[in-house]
Amino acid sequence: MIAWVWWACAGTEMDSDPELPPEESAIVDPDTDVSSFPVESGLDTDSIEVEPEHVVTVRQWGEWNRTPAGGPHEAFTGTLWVQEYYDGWRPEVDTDTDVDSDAADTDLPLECDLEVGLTGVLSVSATCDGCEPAFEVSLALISGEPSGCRDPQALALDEVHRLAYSPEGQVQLDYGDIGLWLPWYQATTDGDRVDFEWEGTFGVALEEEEEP
Amino acid sequence: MILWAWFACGAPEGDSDTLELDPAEELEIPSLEDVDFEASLEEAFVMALQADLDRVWRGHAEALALRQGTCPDFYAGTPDFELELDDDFPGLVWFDECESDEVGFAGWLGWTQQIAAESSVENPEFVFIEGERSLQGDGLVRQAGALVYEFDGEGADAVYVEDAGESSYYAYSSYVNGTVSEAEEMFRTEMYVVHSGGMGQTLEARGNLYWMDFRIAGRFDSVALDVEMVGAELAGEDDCTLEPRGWIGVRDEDAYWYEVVFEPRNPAEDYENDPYTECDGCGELYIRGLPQGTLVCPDFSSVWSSLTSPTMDDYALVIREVP
Repeated sequence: MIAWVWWACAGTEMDSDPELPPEESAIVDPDTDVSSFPVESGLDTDSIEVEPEHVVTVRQWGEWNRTPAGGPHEAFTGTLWVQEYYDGWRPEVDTDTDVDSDAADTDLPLECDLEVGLTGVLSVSATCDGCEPAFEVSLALISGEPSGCRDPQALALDEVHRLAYSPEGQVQLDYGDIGLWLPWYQATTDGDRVDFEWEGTFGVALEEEEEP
Repeated sequence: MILWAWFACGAPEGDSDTLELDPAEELEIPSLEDVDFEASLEEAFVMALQADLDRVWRGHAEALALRQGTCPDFYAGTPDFELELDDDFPGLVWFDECESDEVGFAGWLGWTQQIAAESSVENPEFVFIEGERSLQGDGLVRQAGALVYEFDGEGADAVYVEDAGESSYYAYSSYVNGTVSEAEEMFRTEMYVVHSGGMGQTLEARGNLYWMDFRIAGRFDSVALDVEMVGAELAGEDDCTLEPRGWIGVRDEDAYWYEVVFEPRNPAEDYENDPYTECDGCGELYIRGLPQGTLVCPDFSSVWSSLTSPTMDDYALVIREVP
């Protein structure tokens, strides 16, 4: 604005053509945003894929112990464990699952390390095609601080969810209880017991003090 | 700017003559001989109502189904604190500039979703469903060099459904403010839409929409409206089911707005144009805000059949790969 006004005031006294503004001039701003108008917003085919600077690995696993023994099953009790760690760097934790020993090199606590109690009762209304009978499953936090967890799709705690074991080797979730059954965990059975797990990785932005 | 510069420089000394300009040329109203305002308004009304988040969301979901490997990358919450996204954004975001198998993603889009159903204790067949979604960002998807989808803006919607077997009721509300590009159509809109159906129909719409390429009747590139309507089942003594309350306008490429003003939207408030208050399915035509003494009588009955409740499954855009 100031440059434009200066030019406007001084212009009448100019004897020669005005010089081009310097590159850093506000008149020619090289940092001006490119229009997002769709016709103009072509994808640069020479672009380099943008990789996440940080990733969070979300691990969820657990077990159901169904009763009565031998079936037909009417209920279960079990446990869900949830852990999250950053950039593949996993603090030493007390689990009975395989851990990459190269990555486990510290005893710092995880920001997300939950133990959740599961109680399932046979559902009287929910049916999942191709699944074993569905359960109404209550999730009750036993230990840990959920606010440190980042999984945007995590099952809400202290609520009831409908889950069913599918012989395809999955535990399926009735998403929102609307009858939309989605694969939620990879699962195996051993008699009355169901073991399940899921692991996913997401990009994540970390504040400086959060960076591992 | 010029005025500001004039003050900054100061008035030229000794030059107090008034600058005389020729009077502005009177604009001629474009010929309206071949314009079918009834058909144009009917089409514009339906298309405006379709500029809701359900449409934008489905386009995004279909484009996201083209994902290959980690193109694009998904983020838990904001991928970059520089983005116009809350630092503690609770949803999923894709953020990338990548191409794989001729499918390219550029930019970012973040979304949240929530849906829950409950059954009546006395009657388990009676189901209540509530859903909410939001989508925001600036991202585009291309396939084989052609634009498949772009959304630059923000939107949110909510749905409530009561399903009692033979009878049902729904209420849906949506707000979209952004530029939407699909394979066949591109438009810029800020639109608020509310409608309900099942046990009686109602609708409300307020906003504007501009099509980049499409033209209604080959000449109108925009629609703006502020209307509410009620179906016959729910109409009270003071309701007119033949026409909406409010006004609908279309704009031609020469930037002339043609507005049809029906019954007053809110009689208690000041109204920019005098409403035409007869309940006869007609409104008065205004051009650039000036009444033309012409009645336009569109048949908006097809509007009701164009309104449907969103599909509940579309409230579950879940990114969860299970082997």
